[in-house]
Amino acid sequence: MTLLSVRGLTLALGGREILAGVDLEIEAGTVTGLVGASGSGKSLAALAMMGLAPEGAATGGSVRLGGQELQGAPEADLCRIRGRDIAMIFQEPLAALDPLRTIGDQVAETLLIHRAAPRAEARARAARMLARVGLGPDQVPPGRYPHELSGGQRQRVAIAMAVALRPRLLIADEPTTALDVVTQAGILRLLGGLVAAEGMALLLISHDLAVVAGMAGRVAVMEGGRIVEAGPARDLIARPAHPATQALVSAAGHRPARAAAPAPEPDAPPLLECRAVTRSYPLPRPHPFALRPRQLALDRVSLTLARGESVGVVGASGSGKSTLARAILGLDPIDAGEITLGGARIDPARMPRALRARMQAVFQDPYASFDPRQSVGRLIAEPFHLAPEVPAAERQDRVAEALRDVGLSPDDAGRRIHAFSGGQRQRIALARALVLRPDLIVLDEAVSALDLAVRARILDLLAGLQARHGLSYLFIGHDLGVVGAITDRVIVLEAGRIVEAGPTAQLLAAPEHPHTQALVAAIPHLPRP
Amino acid sequence: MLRFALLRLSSLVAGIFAASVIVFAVIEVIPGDPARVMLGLNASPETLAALRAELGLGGGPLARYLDWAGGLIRGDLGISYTYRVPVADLVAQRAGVSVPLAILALGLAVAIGLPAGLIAAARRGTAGDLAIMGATQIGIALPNFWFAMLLVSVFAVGAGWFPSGGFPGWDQGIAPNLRALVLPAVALALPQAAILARVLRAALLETLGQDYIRAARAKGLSRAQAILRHGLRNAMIPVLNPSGVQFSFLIAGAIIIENVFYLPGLGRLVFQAITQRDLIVVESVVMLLILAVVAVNFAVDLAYAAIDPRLRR
Repeated sequence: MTLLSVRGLTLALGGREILAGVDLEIEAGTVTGLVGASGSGKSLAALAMMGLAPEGAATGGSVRLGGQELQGAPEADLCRIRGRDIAMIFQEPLAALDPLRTIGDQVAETLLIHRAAPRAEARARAARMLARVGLGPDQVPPGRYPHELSGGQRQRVAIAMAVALRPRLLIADEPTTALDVVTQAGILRLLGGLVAAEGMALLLISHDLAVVAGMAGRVAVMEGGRIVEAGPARDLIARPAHPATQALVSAAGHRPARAAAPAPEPDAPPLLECRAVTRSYPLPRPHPFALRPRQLALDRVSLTLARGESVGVVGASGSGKSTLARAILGLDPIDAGEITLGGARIDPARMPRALRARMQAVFQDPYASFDPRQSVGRLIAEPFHLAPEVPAAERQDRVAEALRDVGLSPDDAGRRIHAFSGGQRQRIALARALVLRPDLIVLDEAVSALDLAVRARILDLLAGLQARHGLSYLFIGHDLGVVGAITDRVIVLEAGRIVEAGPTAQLLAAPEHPHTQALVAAIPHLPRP
Repeated sequence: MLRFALLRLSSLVAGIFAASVIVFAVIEVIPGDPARVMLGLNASPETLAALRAELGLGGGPLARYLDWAGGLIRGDLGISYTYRVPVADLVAQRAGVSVPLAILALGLAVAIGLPAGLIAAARRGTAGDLAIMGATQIGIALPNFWFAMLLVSVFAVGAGWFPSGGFPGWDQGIAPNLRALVLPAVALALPQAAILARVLRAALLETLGQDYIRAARAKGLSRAQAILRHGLRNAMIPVLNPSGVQFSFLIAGAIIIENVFYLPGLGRLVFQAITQRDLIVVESVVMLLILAVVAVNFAVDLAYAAIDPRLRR
């Protein structure tokens, strides 16, 4: 039985057409995937279906839920339908909860607003709902506030909020994109279990075909504001007809072609060496006279990185990955142990500029890591303050060369950063890292914020640059699938400790430590045709 | 929460102490003899000596400060030179006008500013929003004493609904006194309401763009419900801070407004005391106003913590 029938759904914002006639059918009690690159209109399509298009948007076409037309229905009717018949969860679990209200209150509100239960009963049902999504009263009682929860826990609250009234249709818009892969696998399992148990239909929206393919019976592919291909998930992945679908299939699990690292000369000293690096952070005192407790972020971490090699550091959020990156870059001090780069000791208090110039970093957020007022040329030339010996005349040529290296044009040096997309910005960040011709580039979640297709191109670029310039990479990430694609060896961190290390292929094929096994199992895969 | 309150309380005490030192020092650093400054050039040596004794000008600055501060704590503010009555009585009597005026003005500012900001944000870009924002622009730009004169000419001189100035005194019953306070309170409140409306509108618009508002709408809340239940409370966080600062402006404004309306309040008292060089009164009233501002800011801090669970540690 068709639950939701969308016909010719259009949406224009400020005169610009964003949805150009979306057609979609969702059967009751089934899981449907909606995939597409970022900017293809997936999220706005979902919002338009719920009658929540942004202010000033002009919508047209038809959205029928169980025979009732929602497009143009009175707002009061839509309010009764939202939350009761159709519910939605969003991408950013950090932002989707009201920071000033307890999680129990926010779940109970769904029941109260639809007058489904009196206040006391609503609270009790909210507590049961929270327990059902894995937030039992012993670990995460309903009296907690959102800021006291982790990202994955908050997304569980959002799910409890959405399914409290057992809606007939749940729309999940990139519900796991902001989470690490292990948490992602947990949330997807929870969603799958809930819709099966309650007989709900699920519209799962993602840019990652592999995330959707594991759950959805049918998949619709969106590009340029319309559905370009739809069908059973297996058929679609096995025989993608439309170029957009083909691109999504090839981007999922993309591995850049790269040569294996040159076999290191047996007695050559490593480029980077960490010996028993230990670092702890002070925690707030439990009471004013207590000793400050300390959180151990890195516990005797040792690793080596040879010239021209790529080493991955993988772990869940909070495992100490970024602390390690900052220590290696000489940004934060360490409590014990030693870090050397090419034999020179790294000490943030006394670090010659020439030593800093030998390693550069690319961070996760391509939007936050640039000053918006400076031209791209100036941004890329910034590291030259570490190399005052490079004459000004040569700097411009080096900037142009770095831009060409990352696939941009030297003319882009005069433009401002806001003119570039997320993927282009990450290329600019790479150009900034390359301009000093360093030995080592530390990539801290450098592709995590990128859409899959963009990510695939950046990984290709990284592989090419490494071959051309003999670079070494320290590639830090939460997704073993991504880290594995670009590294020779991988180190797995858990709670500040190395739990497993080895050649990438071997680690992926036969993980030994339970945590590594969980990381390997969490990698989303396209089903084999 | 208790820890937070204690922390704030200690900074409040430190703030009051620092303010008292500054107020005392200002009197101290006035060149020459405070008694001579107060009495003017033509004072006879006898009156000068008498005032010096009264002011307790003997002894070192530290001893004098401790004496003065001790008096403040006990409620003994000394004797006013011009009125020849204890300053404490004078202040208490005048506060009977100023405090109701401040409360009335604050209440009016909130009663006008809050709905105005709410409506402007909820109807962003409509004629109503434009009208409210235009009005607030005027409210901020025009000085409150000009409003006061406008109100007097329209509602007192023209319509005759309210007295144009003066204060009958609380022994005459509540109604005539409230009538006397209406126009001054409106004149004081309008600029405050305009600022509040603008700050609230900006804060609400920021809040309404948040994901949790969209999530609330997806739960089935109407736009109005989402604004009132989730938007307003979150928007109060950025609104509260300027409110504390604004209270000092309200007090400063009261000094002018009380003079425009001939209200025998603290503002008028301090104004007269300055012209008559009654430094004892000036010192005491300034200290009192500082206390009021610091206390209001302390209350604002506590309100912050009450609203925002992230601040309670």
